[in-house]
Amino acid sequence: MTDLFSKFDPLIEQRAALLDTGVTDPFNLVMERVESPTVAICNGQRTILLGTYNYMGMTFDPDVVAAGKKALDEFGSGTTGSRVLNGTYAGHRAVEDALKDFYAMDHAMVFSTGYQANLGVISTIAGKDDYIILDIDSHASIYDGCALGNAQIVPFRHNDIDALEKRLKRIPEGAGKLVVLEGVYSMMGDIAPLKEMVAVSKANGAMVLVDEAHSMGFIGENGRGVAEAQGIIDDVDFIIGTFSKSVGTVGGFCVSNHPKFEILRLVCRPYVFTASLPPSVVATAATSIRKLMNSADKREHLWENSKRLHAGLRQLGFKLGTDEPQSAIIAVIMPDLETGAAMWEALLNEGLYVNLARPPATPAGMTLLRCSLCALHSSEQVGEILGMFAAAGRATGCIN
Amino acid sequence: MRGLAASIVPVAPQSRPIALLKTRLSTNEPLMPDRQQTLAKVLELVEPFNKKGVAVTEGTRFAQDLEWDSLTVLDFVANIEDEFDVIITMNMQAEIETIGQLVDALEKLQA
Repeated sequence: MTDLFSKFDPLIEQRAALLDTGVTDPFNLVMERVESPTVAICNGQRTILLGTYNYMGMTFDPDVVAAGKKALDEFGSGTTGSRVLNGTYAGHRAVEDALKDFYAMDHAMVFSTGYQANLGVISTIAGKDDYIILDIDSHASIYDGCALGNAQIVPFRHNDIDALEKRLKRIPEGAGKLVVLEGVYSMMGDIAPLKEMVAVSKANGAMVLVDEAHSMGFIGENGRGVAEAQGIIDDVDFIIGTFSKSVGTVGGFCVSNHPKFEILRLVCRPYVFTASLPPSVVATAATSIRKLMNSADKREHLWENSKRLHAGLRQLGFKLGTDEPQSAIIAVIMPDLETGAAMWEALLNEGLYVNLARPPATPAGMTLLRCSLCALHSSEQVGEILGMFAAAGRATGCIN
Repeated sequence: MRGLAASIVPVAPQSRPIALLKTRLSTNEPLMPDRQQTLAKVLELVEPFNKKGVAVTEGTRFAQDLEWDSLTVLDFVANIEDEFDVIITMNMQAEIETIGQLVDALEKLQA
């Protein structure tokens, strides 16, 4: 018998070698208690959270929590069914209405996760004879959507407008074309030149889908994302988003003005063949989305946090993913996985949680310590965070 | 015949057999057959990425022998696409393991 698990042997060995050095397993952390969007207890220690994507700090918002409790009481713990059968409750419609209002778009469709939103929409609209032109650094859910639909995949160099245009021009005459972009790329925290890319895509007859998972609620005047900030949201055919970041719960969605959009509810397999979100989840999401519409002050404070952390880390001598802060994600580039894991552990011992990111999730085989800020991080906390980075960086030899 | 072509193609007397005309025309073209030309161009484009100095033949494999990572593949494929003015989708790339298979794919794409 061939052991189907032998293909994982290199990874098993790499992991064993890393843990043999005595470092805490960076992929097995348990949050024993969560006190707020910015503080949890890990290994019995008070820990500042700087790697949660909880950008707008909505997870403990009293209105959001109250809405969830009320729905739990009134509608029960789960729907036990597909959206197209018994799984659409009043709350599912309400959260789709909230999304339509938030984005000022005609249609909204809610999926059980953000991953499924990309998987479902991409695989359903682009089939075997269609071409998907995408940034090489696209999220796994985008690639999986391409594979599920069996589309022809044409990647281009990260954020390279000319490379995108060249490929668009070479696609056979008359073929269906979908350009897939992200507003914020989550590994390095950089944004896409959407204005130019969407213009080039439209000029070459392509439809455009933009994943705004990491920008919703924060970037753009109304928090609609990078497409709004760059003034081209009306030229985007489909926006994909998630409830598991700024919205503060779980779920995914697509909003669009396409006149035939609603047919997706019948033909999109990752939408049809799975259970819908629990009533409490859609109630918290709807409440949170409506509150995010009027959160200009929080957006401003989050920008301040991002700018201050970026400047502070740079001053300490860390190498960062972007020259300027472009989002609420700041990536600290580590020389290798061993140093990255040691630094991650040193930060945890100081009382700070960040994400350790490594290949294949990262571009160019990099190891990153990824920091995502929250609008509820106080100025004092950002100061504390910088102090912890200084101490851990010196202890591990990352900085002098 | 007009333009550049007229200055290259020798004017043959009407009475000459067509075969002779063909022979004479071909003297203005490179002697290598198309596939050899494609292979030569591919080998030329491999060189800047051949960091290990591997002796490259048609049987050389991109992943195992040249040990290219995904970014190197992206850059190399982009250069190939620009040179031959074609698109090599990731779906096609998945089927291409060796230099020879790439040359075959390019021949097919240009046909």
